[in-house]
Amino acid sequence: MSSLWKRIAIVMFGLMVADKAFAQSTTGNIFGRVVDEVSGKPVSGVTVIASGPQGDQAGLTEADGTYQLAVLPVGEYAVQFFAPDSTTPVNVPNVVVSAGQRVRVDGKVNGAMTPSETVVVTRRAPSADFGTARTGITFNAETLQSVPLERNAGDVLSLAPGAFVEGNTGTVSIAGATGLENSYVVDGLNVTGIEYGSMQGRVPNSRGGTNLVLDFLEEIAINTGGYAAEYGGAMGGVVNMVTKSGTNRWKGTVFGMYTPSAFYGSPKADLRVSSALTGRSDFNSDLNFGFEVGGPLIKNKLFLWAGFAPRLESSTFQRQVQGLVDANGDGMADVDAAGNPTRKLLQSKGYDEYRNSYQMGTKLTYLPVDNTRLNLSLFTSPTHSQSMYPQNAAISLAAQNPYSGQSEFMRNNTDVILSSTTQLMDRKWRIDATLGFHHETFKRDSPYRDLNNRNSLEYYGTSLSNFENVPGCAPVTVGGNTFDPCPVDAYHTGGYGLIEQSTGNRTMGELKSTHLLNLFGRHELKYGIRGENNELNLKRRYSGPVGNQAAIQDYGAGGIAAYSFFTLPQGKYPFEFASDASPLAGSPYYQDGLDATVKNNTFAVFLQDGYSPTSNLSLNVGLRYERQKLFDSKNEPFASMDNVGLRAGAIYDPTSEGRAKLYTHYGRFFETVPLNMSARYFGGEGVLVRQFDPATCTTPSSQWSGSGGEFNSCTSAGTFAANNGKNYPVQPNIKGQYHDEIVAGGQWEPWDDFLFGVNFTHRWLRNVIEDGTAVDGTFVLANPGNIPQDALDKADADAMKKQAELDAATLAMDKAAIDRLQNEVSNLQSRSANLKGLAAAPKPTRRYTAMTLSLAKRLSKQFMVNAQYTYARLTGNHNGLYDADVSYAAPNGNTQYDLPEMYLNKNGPLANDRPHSLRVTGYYEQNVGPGRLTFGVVASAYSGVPRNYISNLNYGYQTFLLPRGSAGRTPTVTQFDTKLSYRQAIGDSMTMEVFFDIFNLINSRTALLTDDNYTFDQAAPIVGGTKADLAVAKSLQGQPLNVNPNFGNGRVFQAPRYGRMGLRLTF
Amino acid sequence: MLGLEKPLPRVALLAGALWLGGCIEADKPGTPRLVAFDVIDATGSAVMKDPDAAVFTATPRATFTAVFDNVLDFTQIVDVEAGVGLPGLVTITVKGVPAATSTVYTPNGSQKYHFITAAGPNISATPMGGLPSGASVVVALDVARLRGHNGQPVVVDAAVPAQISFETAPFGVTGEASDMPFTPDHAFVITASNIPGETFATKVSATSTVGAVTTPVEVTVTASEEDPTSFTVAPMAGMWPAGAKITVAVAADAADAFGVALGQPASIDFTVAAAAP
Repeated sequence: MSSLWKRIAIVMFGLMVADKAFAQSTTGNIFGRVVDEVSGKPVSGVTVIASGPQGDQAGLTEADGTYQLAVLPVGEYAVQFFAPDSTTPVNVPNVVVSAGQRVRVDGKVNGAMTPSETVVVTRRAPSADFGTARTGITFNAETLQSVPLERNAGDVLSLAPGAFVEGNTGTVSIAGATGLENSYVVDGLNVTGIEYGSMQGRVPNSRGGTNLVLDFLEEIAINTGGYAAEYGGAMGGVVNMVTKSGTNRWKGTVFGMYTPSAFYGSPKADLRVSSALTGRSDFNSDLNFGFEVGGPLIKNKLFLWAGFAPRLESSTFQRQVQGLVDANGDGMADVDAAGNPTRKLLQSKGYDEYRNSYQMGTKLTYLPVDNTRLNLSLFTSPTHSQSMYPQNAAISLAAQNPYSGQSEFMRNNTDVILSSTTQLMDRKWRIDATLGFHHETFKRDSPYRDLNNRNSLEYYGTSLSNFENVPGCAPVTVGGNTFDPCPVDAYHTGGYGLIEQSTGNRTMGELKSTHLLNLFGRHELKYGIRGENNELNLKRRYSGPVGNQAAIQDYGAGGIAAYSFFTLPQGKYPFEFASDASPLAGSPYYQDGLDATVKNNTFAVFLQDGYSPTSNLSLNVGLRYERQKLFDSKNEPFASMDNVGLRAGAIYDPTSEGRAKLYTHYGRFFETVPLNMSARYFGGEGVLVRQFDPATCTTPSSQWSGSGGEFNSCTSAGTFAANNGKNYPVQPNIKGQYHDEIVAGGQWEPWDDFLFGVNFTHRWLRNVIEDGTAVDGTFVLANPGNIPQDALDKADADAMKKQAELDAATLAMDKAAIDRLQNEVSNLQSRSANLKGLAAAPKPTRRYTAMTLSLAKRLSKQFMVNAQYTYARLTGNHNGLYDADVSYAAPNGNTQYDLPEMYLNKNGPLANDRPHSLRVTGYYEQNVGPGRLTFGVVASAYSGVPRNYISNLNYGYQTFLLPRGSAGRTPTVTQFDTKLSYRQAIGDSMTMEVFFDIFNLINSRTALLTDDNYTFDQAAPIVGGTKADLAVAKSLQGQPLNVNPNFGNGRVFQAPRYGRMGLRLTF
Repeated sequence: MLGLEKPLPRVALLAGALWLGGCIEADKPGTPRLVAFDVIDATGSAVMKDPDAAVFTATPRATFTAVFDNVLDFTQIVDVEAGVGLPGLVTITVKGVPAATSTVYTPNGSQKYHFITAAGPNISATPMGGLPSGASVVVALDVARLRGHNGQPVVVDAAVPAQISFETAPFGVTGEASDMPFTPDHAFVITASNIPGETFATKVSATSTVGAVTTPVEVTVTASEEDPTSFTVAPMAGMWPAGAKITVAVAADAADAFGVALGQPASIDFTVAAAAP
């Protein structure tokens, strides 16, 4: 077998393992131009050798003196230039190569050097990336260890310009997009969450993408914009994580970090004016430890890396009953000088919480022949936790029966990645192939199994004395006035509530081919093909006994509502279910829960060319085509989208030596639709809401236990379906969700290592996929505001065609067939009518405009710093896949278009609009005694988020009473984290580092989110209204609004100051 | 705290950002236009004028709603402290005499996008005590007092005049309809077209006809607690005669709360199911 075929065979080996492939960059390039030191003319035939972590790679300069060394594992390199007929090199040390970046290293050689002479270039190679116009930030392993950071990759994302943790979700918004629009990549594998598009975080209910511990990473790049045609599937940022690899020397770390309770401040509790219950999770301990080690199994040939990092955390949920006081006996709660209720601690109890995760991974790297590399990686991260968790945002953590409110979470992600790279034809042709498998599981239910078999009971506007026997809580009657010391605005007891279990599998991969050509300049022509199959099984059910699983909400005089799942076969309608809904288990359409398996297939091809007519100008143009096909739970396709995105950019180096660049880039970026929407709206989810008159119940609802069916003794007050229970109709020719982006800017390195930058980014949303109804309550999946006339015509034609079939139906047809035809006609007519309404809905808008000034000073002269200031505005009427306005995550199935009233008052500063942000990351090293002292800092300050006046519109729908942003903004958030470490050599090949991190040194306790529910009454928006209009605002019943007494108060706060001590042995 | 909310010095580089994205488009109200001024019946629906009818007739239980396309400056139309509309904004004249009127301004809602809510913003006017039957009514909205949030006066088009003239329907009585006979214990419901006078119940009587024999039936007439125009008519004996035709009669002098009488007797028939064999 020839060398060529042997290499191709090695690449194809990967393709045999799985049928889909995808890759992101895990390597970088060094390129440059070599000239004669004296004449300045290009020198051909110069041998260029880059020596790095996995050995050397060499190449020769072309006739024009240029060279390129590709597929270099990330890390630090020494580049050597050997002039023809010379044995002495010119050395350029400390060249840092990052994933997907091109670093320019020029050389000057002199053929007259004497044999013993070695020239060391003292000026360092430039630090800018001259291959692309990508924007963002990159951290290498050294920086990740030297600055104070939490433990996982997800904790680093908010250090990128224009990136913020989104509300209390733990996900990170990048450049105006929501946290569900990012793409996360580990060693070339897309590990983004399949159900929501999220990354698994530390929020109890979090699930999704793989979030590796920082000790496993060689580098993390947070790309915030300007990515080329080879990248797709993200409208936010692309987070590229490159894990550590074995090198030619056995090396590794053993680490341990510990935060005892004494190092952790007291978190703020969510104390609502209208409730006697409050609580907070008091920290107990956080223990991290583990190791990572890598080295050669066969030097220069086979490398192994492995890591193991458990994390054990515990806390106590401290639940308190802080009763109101009526010292003067007037039947009213006493208030202090500030108007706050006077309180008395009546009870305090603690409940254990814990979270244990075990991350582990291994990687084999094999270099079978020159210029060919194979990687095989495996990562897994089982996590088990238990904590208080609110099923309903209206209920605080403490306002629950302490057992009913506890959740147990089980989750695990497993990733297997096989990638290969080979270079052929004198490294002028490169083939990259990556095959991957991503598996994610999530389960949430009660740790008390009997509570999974009881109905959850939620009571609104009640008294704790109805449920718990707390001394001092009994209502007191004095002089005819009844005083309740323990009111609760909402309370959850009985069974657990909504139980969820999901399993996602992704098989994917990519085959890329890259050619280096010379045609009126240098070309890097790249094309590739990518396939991806995502599958999700989602199980959802309300707790309760079989046949009577339901969640019950009791609004007192406002009625009782029982929520249950149902499904409908095609051709049936919710009203039919409602007519035979009692007894529930007797209905042919009832199902105890949703159990749906859905999938999507993505196929993509791209072609791009990086053309450099001169050594200091690069023109990039590319085209990406993606086809996304979504399948329902019966494996029938319900939507197919053809997405075409153009990318074009230019990079110019005015210094012609890699010390500056001007760049601009335009791109169109499409979303990959997460599968939660498919599983729910195309998996047969129907939610039946049955309302009852509480006055008619045989047993008062306050005495219910959730044993199941207790509501059957009450008189029905109406029934409706919140979801259809069958597939939603879909707009003909539905298009993908996308935005356009322009980035432009410049970077300049006036002095070695000091890289100044300015970047301008503008993104604007062009199209969304959302469900909505406009005329009759039938929800349609569509492109609201952007439905073209041909789609409306097609919908009309479909309805008319079916009507013609019905008209032509003969009496010979059986009744069932005619009924079915009538249903289909009705369905198509309804789709057509709703599409017309949705076509007239406001166009979705989201405009992100940002200017970032940056300084990146890489490590030299004992310090490193990365500082950015960003001024950004995010405006429009559509937040994106996560609707932070109402804390609702249903990607492509949110509530923005659910009712026409939901369109109103939506224009303004969006939920992630933070005009000002300043971030500084850096560290300083100083030799002290026998070792080295390092002081690291991560400091940030950024504007708060817009606040709103929210009202209820209908069950499950909250809307803007006043225009978006009318209630001002939450306070500016500041955070100052520090690290102090001391590192000392132990023997020849080992160092020991002790360190102490302090997070939130200034103990800032700013409210990150406030209670924006101005009223819980049903009220329509006051379009364009002002705060003054609230004085005359009315509920849907025509009554003045009852104002939520907690409106405007903080509900999520910064974590308090805490410290962490650690020990790291490096060998 | 860095006080970052304060405007930073303007620099040329930021000017571009402000130009492209700094201007925040909000749902700011414009000049209001009167988009509808309707007579609303007791069910909450607008009463449409029959284009073929010589006279626009509506129920005497009508209220009136003016809908605008933009929110109004409420300071000239609402006494916020008292929680009531200022007098004189809507004038209801009955047979040339002004009637006491209450007005309510609701800033909520949209005239363009509404599905489960009423169109808004709106001003609704209710004649205190109702309207007499068979009367000519003129309802006028004083648009000169209305301003938008932008200070501009309300625009009134010829297509939607700020004055409504109509005749209230004459006083009448209807009974519940059914294709099927009622059960013998059924309490029959009759409904007046306007709020009746205090003596209305005493003007109701009933007879039963079986074959050719018609006999009076003593009945109890009870006003509905929810609907003042609705009465149930039930036999004092507890059961209507099985298989009988029942005729409920209302005397000609039965009148509405304003003293407007039926003018001629009204009768409503229904049948009672036959006894089971």
